[in-house]
Amino acid sequence: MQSDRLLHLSDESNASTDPDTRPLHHCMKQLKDEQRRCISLFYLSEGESYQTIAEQLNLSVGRVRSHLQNGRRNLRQCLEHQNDPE
Amino acid sequence: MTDNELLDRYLSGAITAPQEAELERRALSDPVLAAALSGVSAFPEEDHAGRVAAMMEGARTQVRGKVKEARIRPLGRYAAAAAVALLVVASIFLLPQFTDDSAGELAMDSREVPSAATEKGTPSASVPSVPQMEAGAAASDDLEREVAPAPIPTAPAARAKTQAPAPAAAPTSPAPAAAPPELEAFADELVAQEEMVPEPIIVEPVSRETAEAEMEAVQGDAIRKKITRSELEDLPRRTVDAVAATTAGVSAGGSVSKNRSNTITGRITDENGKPINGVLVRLPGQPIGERTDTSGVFVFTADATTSLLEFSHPDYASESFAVDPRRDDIQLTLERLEEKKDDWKDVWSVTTITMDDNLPGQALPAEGYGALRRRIEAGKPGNVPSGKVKFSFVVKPNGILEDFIFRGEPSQETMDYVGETIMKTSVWEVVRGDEAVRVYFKVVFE
Repeated sequence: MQSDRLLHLSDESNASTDPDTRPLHHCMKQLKDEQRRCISLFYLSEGESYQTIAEQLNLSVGRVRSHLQNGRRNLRQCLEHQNDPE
Repeated sequence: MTDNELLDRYLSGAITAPQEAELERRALSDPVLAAALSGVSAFPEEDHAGRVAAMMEGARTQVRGKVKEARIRPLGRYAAAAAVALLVVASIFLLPQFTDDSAGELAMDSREVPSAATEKGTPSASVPSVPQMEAGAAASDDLEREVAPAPIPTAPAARAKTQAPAPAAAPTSPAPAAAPPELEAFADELVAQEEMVPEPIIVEPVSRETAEAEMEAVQGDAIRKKITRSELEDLPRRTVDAVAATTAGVSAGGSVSKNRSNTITGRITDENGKPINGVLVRLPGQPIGERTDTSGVFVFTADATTSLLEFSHPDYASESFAVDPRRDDIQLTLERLEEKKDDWKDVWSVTTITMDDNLPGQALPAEGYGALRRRIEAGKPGNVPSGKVKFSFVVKPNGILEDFIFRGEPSQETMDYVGETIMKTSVWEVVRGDEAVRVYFKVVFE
């Protein structure tokens, strides 16, 4: 699933200084602000839950869920597009 | 962590990324879990946890309520069902009493047939009556079939059989002479019972001719007289028809008497009494029918269900007429449509279209358009850019100018200068029309 893949990616990027991090960073920049924030909080920080993110960003849990889903989708599309030429 | 714990966290949103990942991993092999997750992901903005809680609460209160009602309801329902069933059964059995004497006739025939059976050895009434009923019903209106044709013949037949011993011994043949006394006796009984029974359920007015047409097919003139005198004439006809159809089937096939033929004759005239040729006489909804001849006379063959006839002619206003078969002759006048057509032509030729009202008003400045334009262009201040300025404004009949609208996007200075100059230094007058006029103006600044 999406989160698996992204976690996997982020693990990779943290583990080694592969150029593989570049597509991810690039795609993260492509995201809308809210989506990017939610995703980076949820996946790239420790122990964040929807509720904590909602509190931090002053959103409802549903919104956070929505941002995460959309953000994942956009990231996936962007990353796939990145990977295609290769 | 258990699935439920994970799911709870997921629903409430108190779930972290690794936990969510674990949940999704488990959902890969657990379709139920996958379904739960998919519901949430389909509608991320919904307060799923809240909804689930509300549902549970609602279910709990419902369960409490249902326990109380559970005992009362079934009884209520059964009682209602029982009452309805009782009504239906009662109506089926009691209804024929209210039908016309044709019911009596059916009873008569049923009686006669069994009695004839005893003498001639023919089968009992109920058996032939049912198949004959089918044939008779097929010939009649579809509606008649729905009126529980099966119970009706059996009910009157049953009643007939019970009545059989009461009246005098049946004659050997269904002779009209024998029928009247029995019919009278039966009619009297029916009358007596009439007060007991309430309004029948199945009511649909069908023309008298329908019922009686069937009836005469069976009986002769003598019976007819009894029927006309009967007080049960106003009762529902549908059952009568069903019964009558049975009667028609059961009997040996009587002759159609002259007065009670299935044909309707009539004469159509216009307001002056002149007969109209070629009026179309038909049943409502049918495309074809009969036409009147040059003396305005038509002969229409009506079947058992005729109650309304339509009369139409291109030159005349159409009419619908409820037919009463008691009267052979229909005399009907149609209103001519021709005058109306003429009226239309007259109006059309007379009307003239007056264009004057539509002419637009006009307003002029006292000094004239050209002079005003030149003045504005000449007096342009420095902060107004050059170029065309198109605008419009409204001149009211009292000379007041308002509602300046500038086309394009002139600068504020331009609009100010032009607007002020016109408003304050020009005099306008509405020279044509009585209403406010919008004036369109253009100046060109060098």
